[in-house]
Amino acid sequence: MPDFEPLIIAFACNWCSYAASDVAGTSRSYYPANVRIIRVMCSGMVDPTYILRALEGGADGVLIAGCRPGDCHYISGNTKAEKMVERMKTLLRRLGLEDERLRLQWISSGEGRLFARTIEEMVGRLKEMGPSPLKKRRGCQA
Amino acid sequence: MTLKTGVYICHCGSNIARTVDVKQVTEYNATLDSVEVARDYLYMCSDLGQELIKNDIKELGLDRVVVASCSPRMHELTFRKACVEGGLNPYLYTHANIREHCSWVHRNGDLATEKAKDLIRASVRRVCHQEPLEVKEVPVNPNTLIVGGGIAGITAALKIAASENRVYLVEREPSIGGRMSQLNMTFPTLDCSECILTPKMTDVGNNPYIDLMASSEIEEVSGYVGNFKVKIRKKARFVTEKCTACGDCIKECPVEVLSEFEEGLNKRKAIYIPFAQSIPNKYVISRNDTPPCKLACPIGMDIQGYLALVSVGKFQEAYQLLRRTNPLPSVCGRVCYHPCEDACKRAYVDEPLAINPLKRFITDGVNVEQIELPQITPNGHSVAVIGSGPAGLAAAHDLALWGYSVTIFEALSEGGGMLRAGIPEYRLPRDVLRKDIEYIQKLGVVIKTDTRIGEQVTLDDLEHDHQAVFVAVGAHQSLRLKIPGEETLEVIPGVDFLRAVNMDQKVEVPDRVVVIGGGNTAIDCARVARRLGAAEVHIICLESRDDMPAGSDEIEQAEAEGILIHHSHSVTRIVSDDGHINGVECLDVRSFEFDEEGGVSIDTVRGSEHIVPAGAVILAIGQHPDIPRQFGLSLGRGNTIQVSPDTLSTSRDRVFAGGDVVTGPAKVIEAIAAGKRAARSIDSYLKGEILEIKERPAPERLGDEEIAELQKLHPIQKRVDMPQLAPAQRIGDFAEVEQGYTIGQAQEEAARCLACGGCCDCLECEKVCEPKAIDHSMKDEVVEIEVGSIIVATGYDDFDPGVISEYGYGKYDNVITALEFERLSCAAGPTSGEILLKDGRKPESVAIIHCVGSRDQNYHEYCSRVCCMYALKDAYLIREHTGAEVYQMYIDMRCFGEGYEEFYKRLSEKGVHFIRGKASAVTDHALAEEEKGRLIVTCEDTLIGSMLRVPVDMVILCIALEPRSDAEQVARLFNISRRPDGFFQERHLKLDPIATPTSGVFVIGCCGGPRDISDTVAQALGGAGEALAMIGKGSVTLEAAVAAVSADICIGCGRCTEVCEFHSPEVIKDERGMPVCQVNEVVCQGCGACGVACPTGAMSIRHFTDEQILSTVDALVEV
Amino acid sequence: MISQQLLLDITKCSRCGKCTAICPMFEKTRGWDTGVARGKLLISWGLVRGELEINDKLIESLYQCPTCMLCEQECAAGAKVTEIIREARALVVERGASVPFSHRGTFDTVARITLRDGLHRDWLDLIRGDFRESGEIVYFPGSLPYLEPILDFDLGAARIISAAVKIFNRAGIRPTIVKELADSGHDTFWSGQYQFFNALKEKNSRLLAGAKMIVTTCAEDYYILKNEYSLDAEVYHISQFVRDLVREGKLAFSKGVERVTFHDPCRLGRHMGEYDAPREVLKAFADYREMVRYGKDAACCGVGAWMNCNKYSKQLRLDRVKEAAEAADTLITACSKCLSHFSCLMTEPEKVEDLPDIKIVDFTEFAARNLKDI
Repeated sequence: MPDFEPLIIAFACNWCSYAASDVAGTSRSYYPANVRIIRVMCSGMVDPTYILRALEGGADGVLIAGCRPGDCHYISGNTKAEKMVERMKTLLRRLGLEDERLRLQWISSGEGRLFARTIEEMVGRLKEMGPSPLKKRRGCQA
Repeated sequence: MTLKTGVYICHCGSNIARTVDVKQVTEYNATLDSVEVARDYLYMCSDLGQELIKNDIKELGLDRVVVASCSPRMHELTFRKACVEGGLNPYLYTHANIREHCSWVHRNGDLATEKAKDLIRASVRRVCHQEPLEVKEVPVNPNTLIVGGGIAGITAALKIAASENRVYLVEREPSIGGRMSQLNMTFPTLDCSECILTPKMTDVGNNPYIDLMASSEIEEVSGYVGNFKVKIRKKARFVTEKCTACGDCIKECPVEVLSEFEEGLNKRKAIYIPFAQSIPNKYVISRNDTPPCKLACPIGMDIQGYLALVSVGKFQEAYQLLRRTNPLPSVCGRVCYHPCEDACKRAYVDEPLAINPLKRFITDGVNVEQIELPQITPNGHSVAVIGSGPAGLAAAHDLALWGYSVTIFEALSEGGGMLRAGIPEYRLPRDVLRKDIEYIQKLGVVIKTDTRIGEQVTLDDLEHDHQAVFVAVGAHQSLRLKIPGEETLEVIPGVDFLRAVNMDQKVEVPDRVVVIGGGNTAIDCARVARRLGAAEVHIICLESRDDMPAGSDEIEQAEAEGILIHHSHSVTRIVSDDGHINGVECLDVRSFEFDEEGGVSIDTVRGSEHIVPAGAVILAIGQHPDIPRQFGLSLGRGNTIQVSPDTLSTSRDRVFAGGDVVTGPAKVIEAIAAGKRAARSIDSYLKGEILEIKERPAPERLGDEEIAELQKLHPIQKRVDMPQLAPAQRIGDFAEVEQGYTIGQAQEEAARCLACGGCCDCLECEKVCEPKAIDHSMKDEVVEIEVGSIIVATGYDDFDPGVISEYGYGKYDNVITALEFERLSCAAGPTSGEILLKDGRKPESVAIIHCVGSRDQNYHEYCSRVCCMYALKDAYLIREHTGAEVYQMYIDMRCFGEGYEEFYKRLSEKGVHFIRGKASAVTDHALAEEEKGRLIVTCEDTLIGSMLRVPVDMVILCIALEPRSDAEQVARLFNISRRPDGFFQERHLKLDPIATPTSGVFVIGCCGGPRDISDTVAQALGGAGEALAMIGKGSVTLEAAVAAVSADICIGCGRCTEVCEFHSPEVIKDERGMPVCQVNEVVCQGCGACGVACPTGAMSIRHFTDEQILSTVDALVEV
Repeated sequence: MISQQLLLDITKCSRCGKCTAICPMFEKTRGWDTGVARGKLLISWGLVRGELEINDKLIESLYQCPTCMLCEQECAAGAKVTEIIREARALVVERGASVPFSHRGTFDTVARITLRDGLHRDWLDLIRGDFRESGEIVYFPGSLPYLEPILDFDLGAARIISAAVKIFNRAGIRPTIVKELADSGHDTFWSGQYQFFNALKEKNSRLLAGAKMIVTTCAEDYYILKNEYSLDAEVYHISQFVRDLVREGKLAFSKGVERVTFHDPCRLGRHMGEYDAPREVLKAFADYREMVRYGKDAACCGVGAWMNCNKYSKQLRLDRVKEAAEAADTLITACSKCLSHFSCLMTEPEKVEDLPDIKIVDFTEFAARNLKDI
C-alpha cells in the first residue's frame, strides 16, 4: 500500500508538549500532516477510553505526549500516564493491535524539534506497519 | 434545541492563508451541523475581528463560538473575552489551532487545508458539548507568611509591610539575617555585608506590621490559596522579652560550645546571641536533648552542670548544684558505681569524663559549716523514717526541705546504715559520711540512734505519732550457702564481719582467710581482712573475672593488694580439723545459671575437687532484709517488702518502704533514688495529690555517623587519673586509697566535658540577670495564624567538602571552606579580620579551588553561580590584607552580572594567578624542598597543557550551594515539588519563576536554586509583588476547569484521593452515612488524574469532560 | 421492536408493591417509583407509546437496575420485568441516547474492537496448560484477557483461564480455545444495543460453527451463549461441566478445610436456574457454608453489564460480602463480573469502615486448585 497515509491522534499536555508543538510551528519545523493534536491539561488526564475510541474510530496511531519526568505541572501526572500506557499496550497486544501504535513521548516545552521528529518517526513507522486493522475506510486525506 | 455556532477563521495576514485555503475551509465549515455562520477575516485578533464575533453573538443569537487561528496559548483568552463582551459564557468557546499546528508546519497546501477542516470540525463538535462555567472568586486573607529570615525573607517582608499589611516572618534560627549575615564583603562592590544588611534587619525588628518569630518552625499548613491556616512552633528560648541584651549572663555561663555562626571557628556560651547585631536582639539559651549522663543517673543529677562549674572554678556553686538533686554528695563522690560514666559520650572519642572523682573533688573542698542552709517553712506534718541508710537519709533530706518534721530511727549507735556499717573506711572515710549526715541534721532531721523498731518502739507507735512512715531498714542478714560444715563451724557472715570492724569492735583474723563471694561485699571483706593482718587472703567466687558483680576498679585494687581470686569455683564444704576450720573444698565450674526462684544450678567439673587452706572463712554471697514480724507487712521473694513500684506504698496504709529492704542488696545511688522517690510519694500522699510518674528514657547508643561527627569535632584528650596510695602503703591501715584531684587536675578534667546538653541547668545566668528575663522552665508554644499567601525563602545548605577526600578538608588544618574564609576575613570574626593560618601565621600563598561539588557529575551537576565571584573577592581581600600570592584554579570564569566582568578584570590586574584547570588534589606530601611544610595543590593548567604542583599555605574550597537537608519535608509541608537537583520547583523557569504549582505558595531566593544576593533580592521583590497583587485584588480567581463529582454515582472508593497530588478530593459521609467523595475546588488544579482513576465515571473535569474529548476524537477519526 | 406479548406483560402489573419490598436496589435508593420495577414498567410503557421524552432521569431509571430478576421471580402478576426493561433500553438506544456505562464505556469500546476482523489476538501466552486452537470441545473464556489491563486490581485472568484448562486436561481433554472470538455480547445485549449484539453473535457463531460442546467460566457468557445464540453445540457453565466430570469419575478433589460460601450470580441462578451444580462440586471437598440469602433468594453483587456502578450498588456489594463473611472465610463466585465487583470493593484505597475480612475467589480457580490426581 504505497500511498497509505496514517492518521495519528496526539494528546498533548498543555504545559509541555502542546507548547512544544507550538514551538515546532514558530520555528517552522515541518512535519507530515498526518497528526491531529488534542490539547489536554496533563498527560495524566488521558483515559484508556480516549485511546481505544481513537483506534476504534480508525486512527492508525495514538501519541501521548507529556512533560519529562519530574517536570509535570501537576507533580506526577506524566508518571501516571506512563503506567496507564503500559497497561494499554498490554491490552492492545491481547486484542491484536501492534502496541507500537500507541506511543508515549516526553517532550518538554522548548522541544519543538523533538515534537516534529516524533511525528516524523511515528508516521514512518506506521507506514511500515500499514493501516490499522481497525481502519474502516481509507486513510486520512493525505 | 439546536445550537447556533459561529465559526471564525483567521488568515493571520498571510501566515495561515498562504498555506491554508481559507475560503474553502470557510465554505466547508458553513455546511457543518449546528454552524449558523462561518466567516473568515484577515486578523481575527484585531479589534475589528473581535467586533465581528460580538456582533454575531448579539445579532444572530450565537450560543457557541469557534475561532480557528493561532495557538490557543496565544489568543484563547482574547476570544473568550470577546465572547464575554458579546454576552456569552467564556467556556462556550473553543479554539482551533490552524497556524502553529497547520500552516506553519506543513508545506503542502492541500494537506494543510484538509487538516484545518478536520481541526475546525472537531472544535465545532466539541464546543456543542461545552457548558457554561462559573468563574469563582475567593477572598484573600491580607496576611502573608514568609518562611526564612535571610535576605530574601527580609526584603520581601519589608516590601509587603510597606503596604501596611501584616507579615509573619518565621525564622528557625534565633536571629534573622541568614547566610548573608555570615558574609564579610559582597562582590563586586565590596560592600560590607553586615553594614548593608543590619539596617534592614533592624527595620524588620521595628516594623509594626512585621510579626517576627525567630527560633520558630512551621508545623502544619492547611487550607488553600488566599486562606491558609498555619501552625507555628515557637521554640522555647528560655529568655523572655524582658532581655535587654546587656550580656551579663554570658560572663557567668560556664558552658562553651562551637559557634554555628562562626562556622565552628569560635566558641560561644550556652546562653548567647548569634552575633552582635542579631534581631531580635534578645539572648537565647541553646538546649539539646538531656545529656546521657543525666539520663543514666538514677537520681538524674545535673552532671554536666557541676562539671562546667568546676571547669570555670566555681566550686562552691558546683556544690550547691550537686545538693540540688543529691542529698549525700560526699558519699556518692566516694562510693557511687557511676553509671553516668558508662553513658558519657566522650567515651566515643577517648575516655568518659571522671565524673565521680570530680564530684568528690567538689565535696572535698567544701566546709559544711559554711554552707548557707535553705529557708524551710515547716508544714506541720511529721514523718518517721526507720533506718538511716542512704534510702532513709535521702527521704528524710527531701521531706525536711519541704517542711516536714522528720525523725529517723536507727538501730545502731551511729547513723548511716550500710554506709556506716558495711563500707570500709579506706573507701568511705567516716568524717565524709558524717559531713553529709550533719548537713541533713542541720535541716532539722532528728536521728534517734540505738533505737530498734519492734522492740522498744513499735511500728504501731510510729504510725500513731506520725502522718507517714518510711521503712528503709536495708538488707543486713547474710545469706547462707547451705553446705556441710557451714552451720557447725564458725563461718563468719560477711556483713557481720564488716559491721564489727566498722563499728570499732576488736576483730582478729588468722594468717589465711578465705572469702566466699564475688560481689563488692566479698572484696571489702577480703581487703579488710588483709588490713587486719591476714597474710594470705583468697576470694572464691562462682563467676569468671568479667562476670563478677563487684566493680572492676575494686577488683583491680584488691588484686593489687595481693588478694588471690579464684574464679569459676564452687565451694562444696568447709573442711575442719578438730572442730577448727582449716580450709574449703572447691570444684571447678564449667557454667552456672540462676533460676527464677533465685536458686542456682552449677555445672561442675567432675574430679576437680581441691582444698584451699584457710584459718577463717568469711561468707559474702549476699544479704537479705530482716523484717520484724510485728511490722505486719506483706513480704515478697528474698524476704523483701512488697510495694507498689510507682508509689512505694506497702500493704499497710501510710507506710512506705524503699531501698535494699525492697530490692534486696543494691547500689547506694539506687537506694538514694528510692528514698527520693518515697519522699515525693509521701509528699503527694499527704497533700492528697496524685503522684506524677516521670519515666526517664535510657540513654541511646549513637549511630556511626554521630560517632564520626563527634570524633571529627573533638581531638583526643585522655582522662586525668586520680592519684592512689601505693598498694604497699594501703594494706597497713585504713587510710583512704584514692587521693582526690588537685584544683588544676579537676579543672583540666572537667573541661573535657563535651557539653552535650547545651545549657547545663546550673542557673548561674539567672543569678545575675537584672531584668529577670531568664526562665529555664519555658516550654515550646504552638500558635496558629491565618494567611493568604506563603513565601518560602528557606535558603541553602553548604556542601560538605569532606566527601571529596582528595581535597583534604578535615584532614589538613588550613584547607577551609569559602564560608569559613568569610568569617576568618571578617572584622567581627574570630580573628578580628586577620587572615591567619591555624597556627597564627600569615599565609604567603593561597589557592582557591573552584567548583567544589558543583558542575561535577559525582556531586551536583549544576553551577552554584556565586563561587567565581566570591573567589575573586576572596582573592582581593587576601591580596589586600596579606599580600600573599593567590592562585585561582577554575574551570570557567562566570562573571555575568552588572559590574562583575569589570571586577574580574580589576583582579586580573592585581597579580592574581588564574589557572584554568580543576585542581586534582591537595596534599602535604612534599617532593621538593620548597614544598616542605606546605600544602601542595596539583592541577593541570589546561591552557598551556602542563601539570602544576602549587605549594601554598592555605586552600580555600569554593563549595557548592545545595538544597537544605530537610528540603523534602519542607516541600511536603507546603505541597510544592522539587526539581531533580533538589531545589524547589517554580511554575515556569522563565516566565513564572516565583509561583509554584500550588497557588498562593511562592518560592524566592536560594531554596529555588543557587543565586547571588542581587538576584535573590530581585526575586524577593517579585515574591512580594505576587503577594501584594493578591492582597490588592482582595480575591483570587479560581480555575473553573476543575474536577466535579457526581455524588449520586460516586462510591467513595478513594481511588481519586489516592492519585491526587493536591489533596483536593476527600471521602466524606453523605447525609445517609454513605462514603462519597467531595472535591475541594479551591485546591483542585484540574489535572484530571482523578477522572482516570474513577471506576464509576462519577468524577469528571469541567471543560475536559469525556463527552467533550470523545466528540473531538470521534470527529477527527471519521474521515 | 417490543413484542405485543411484552406490552401485555407491562399491563399485567397490579401495582401490588411486592417488587418495591423485595428490590435490593430500591432498599438502598428509597426514591420514587421510577427506582423500582413497578415504575420502570410504566416508564417503558410511556416510552413504547411515545409519551415520554428521553432524558437523564429516564435513562437513570432504566439503567439503575442490575436486572437481577429477584422482583420478576417474585412478581405475582408474572410480568417479565427484566425483559421489558431491556426492551425499553433498546428503544432508548435506538433513539440515539448513549448508554451510561461505568469506566467511561471502556468495556463497550473493547467489545466493539473484538467485533472487528483482521486483528491478530495475542493472549494465549496467559495460558498454562494443554489446549488446541480448533476442535469440537470449546472453552470460552469470554473477555477475561481484555478486562484485566483496564482494571487497577488483579483480576487473575491468566489464573482463571489456566485453571479452566487444567480442569479440562485432568479430565483428559485438550480444550479448544478460539482466540479470535469476540465479546460474548452479554453486556451489549442487556444495554439494549441489539444491532451491535447481533453482529457479535453472528461473528461468534461463525467461529463456533464446528463446536459440539462449549464451556464458559463466566455466568454471563453461559447465559448469553445458551439463551440468545442458536448454536448447535451444548453450552455448559464450568460448574456444570465439573459436576458431570466428577459424577463420571473423571475428576476428584482433595478434601480441604477452607470454609467457603457460594455467591449465586444472577445469570447462573435466577436467569438460568442453576443453583445445584456449583454447590455439589464445592460440598464435595470444601467446608461449605450457606449465606443467609442463597440460591433463588441470593442477593445481587449490585452491578449488571458494567452499567450501574454507584453508591447504591456498592451498598449491595458490601451487604453481600458481610453476609459471606458471617458464613465463611472465602467467597466463591462463578462470574467474572461478580468477581470484578467484589474485588473492586475489597481493594478500595479508602476502606469501608466495616469491611469484613474475606477472600474473593473464582469458582474455576478454586476448583482447579483443589484437584486431586486420580
